[in-house]
Amino acid sequence: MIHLSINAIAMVAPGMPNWAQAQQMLSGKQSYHHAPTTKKLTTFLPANEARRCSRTISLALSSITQLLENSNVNEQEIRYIFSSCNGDLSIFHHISTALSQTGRPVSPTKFHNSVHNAPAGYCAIALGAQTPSTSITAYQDSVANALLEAAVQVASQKQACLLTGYDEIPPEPLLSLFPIADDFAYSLLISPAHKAHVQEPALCRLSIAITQGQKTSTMDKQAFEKLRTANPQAKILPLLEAIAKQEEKTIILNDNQQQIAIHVSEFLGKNP
Amino acid sequence: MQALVLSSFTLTTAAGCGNAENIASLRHRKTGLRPNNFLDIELETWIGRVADVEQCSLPNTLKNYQCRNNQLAYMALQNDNFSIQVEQAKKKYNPSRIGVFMGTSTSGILSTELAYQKINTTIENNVNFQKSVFFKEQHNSFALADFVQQYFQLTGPAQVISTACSSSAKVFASASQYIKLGLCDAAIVGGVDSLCLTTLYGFNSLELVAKDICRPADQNRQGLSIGEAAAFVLLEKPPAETSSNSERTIYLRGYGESSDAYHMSTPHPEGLGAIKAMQCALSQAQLKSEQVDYINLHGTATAINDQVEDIAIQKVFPQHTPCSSTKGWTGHTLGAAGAVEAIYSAFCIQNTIYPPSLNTQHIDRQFSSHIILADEQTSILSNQGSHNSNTKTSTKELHTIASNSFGFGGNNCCLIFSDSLDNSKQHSGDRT
Repeated sequence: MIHLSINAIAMVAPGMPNWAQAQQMLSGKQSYHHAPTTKKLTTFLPANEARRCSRTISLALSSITQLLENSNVNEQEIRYIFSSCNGDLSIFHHISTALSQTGRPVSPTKFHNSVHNAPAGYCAIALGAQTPSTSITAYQDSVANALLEAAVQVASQKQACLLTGYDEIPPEPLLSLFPIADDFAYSLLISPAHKAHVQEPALCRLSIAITQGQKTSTMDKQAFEKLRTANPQAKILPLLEAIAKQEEKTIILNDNQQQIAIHVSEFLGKNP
Repeated sequence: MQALVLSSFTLTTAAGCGNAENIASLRHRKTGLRPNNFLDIELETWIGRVADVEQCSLPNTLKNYQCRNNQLAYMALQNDNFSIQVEQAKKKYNPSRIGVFMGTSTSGILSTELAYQKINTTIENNVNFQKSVFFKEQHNSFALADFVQQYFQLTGPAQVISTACSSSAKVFASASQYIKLGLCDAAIVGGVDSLCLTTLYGFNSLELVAKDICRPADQNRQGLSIGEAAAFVLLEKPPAETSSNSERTIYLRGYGESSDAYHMSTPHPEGLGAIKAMQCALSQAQLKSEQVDYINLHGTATAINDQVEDIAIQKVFPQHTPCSSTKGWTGHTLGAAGAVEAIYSAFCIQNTIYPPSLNTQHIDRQFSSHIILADEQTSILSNQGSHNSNTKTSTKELHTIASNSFGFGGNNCCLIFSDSLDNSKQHSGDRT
């Protein structure tokens, strides 16, 4: 069992442009209406770097921008984890199309943006963060896999970690192979449970363990359940709903051959 | 960190299929690079192509995984009794207690790239395209870890790191942390990357590919030669008793990771990220920089990488520390490079080989580091034979190696390997 705390949350999702609004909707205080994802452009990249970013990179960075705007964390002292099911399929499509043309004219900028860790590279440049970052994927189970990785890094390195999950709607012909209905990104600032590595209170505590044979968590409301299955990153929703409702419970997520159980408790401002 | 044992490993590169062939190439300075003959690619360059990958057929139960990257992985897993060692580990622990941590930059995207070529020439609709692309089992980067898990029937944690050319160095760090926290007892770590159009044309578009064979640290180096490789290591906690195995046991002693925060495809000009990674690895290993006997450089043979790495190692290690890049044998195997060079480090320690910078004719005059040249290696090796405890501090002893891997996006990792767990017995820098 690994004990952690969550100190800040960001969310860029269909009909839920930020965590403040998402919190209201997920807790039922405000009604939810599906709308295409709108992302705020990142403010921390220089204009010339921002121009080179792809849609996917912007999606990841807009989520991080939102989190950092609502947090006092020192971004140069935390570790970074980036998790995406598919990486940047728009860039893959662009390069593969160029590779099937005469002369195979691959754009050098597109090529260096094609690495799975491109969002991590831009993020480090923008924030001047020389701390370690990792970029991972676990296909459809990327959310659970990334939460476990964040837990491992925070617990073993005793250092706060900013986890960002992101996946965009791919272009055709890839969309038919991998249907994603909405762009979706989230960021979590996670820190050790009992050590004040960030200068802000914990929103809640998490306890994470590996498990097996449990029922995977879903969403009760039909609109949210539809959202949960529309993008691999939206599998974070049951956890975010529990936090929004300040409801102590255990969330079960599939992680390839195993499952992870995440117990959420001790909410900020809520008396036990 | 608690040191971990590399209890079994196997390597397949252009320089050899399996450990014995790779060690023979290393000893005889036989490069695996050759003029490009991959598919219909017309680029004038040299490549590190593994022979007969496309002939390799996966077992029937894993047919959907059939793509160049998994074929290369499968080829490699047939050598050096690696699979037998994994089966023994499954009995010793449990299939759910063995993690799989893999690094790759392009996984099986070649299959999708080739499917794109057919869209434009022969079909109007997407039907054939859709039938020919296996997103989960081939294209996606996680396919590699999935394939390894399925092949060995393992059910523990699995992860794919894709941070360009540092990917499969970082899996050693990740696996160490999972083992430390008790999420698994052992781990298969490694990297597989295979030739594809995107990397060959992509690096070419950045003018980083040499027309001639790559010449790391050379005054006239012109860029990299791209290679492919599969490297697998079984990592475990050290056993309570030392084994009777005649080969020297190799330990992972430390890892260091950092970001450049400078540019997407150019390293920090003062090597700040690289310096941080190397210092962190030394500190984790609780070693002084003078206790490192040899540095396996990232050494891609691009103008800027080699120059910055020279500056960085001068800031961390004593000037006389022997170092070289082994990419003259394998080419730059990208996401597999970290694990490839981890196993090269094990070869070097077990066989006391200080590899020369293969293909290098004249060391860059601006470099301060002690890059080993072929002539010099001859004199080091000719002293072999008097292998006893009295020669612990002589030049030819080789116990501890630092191995660098740096990737696009400014992602750095340094690993330290040693045949000793005792810091006091380490080399203390007498190299007269």
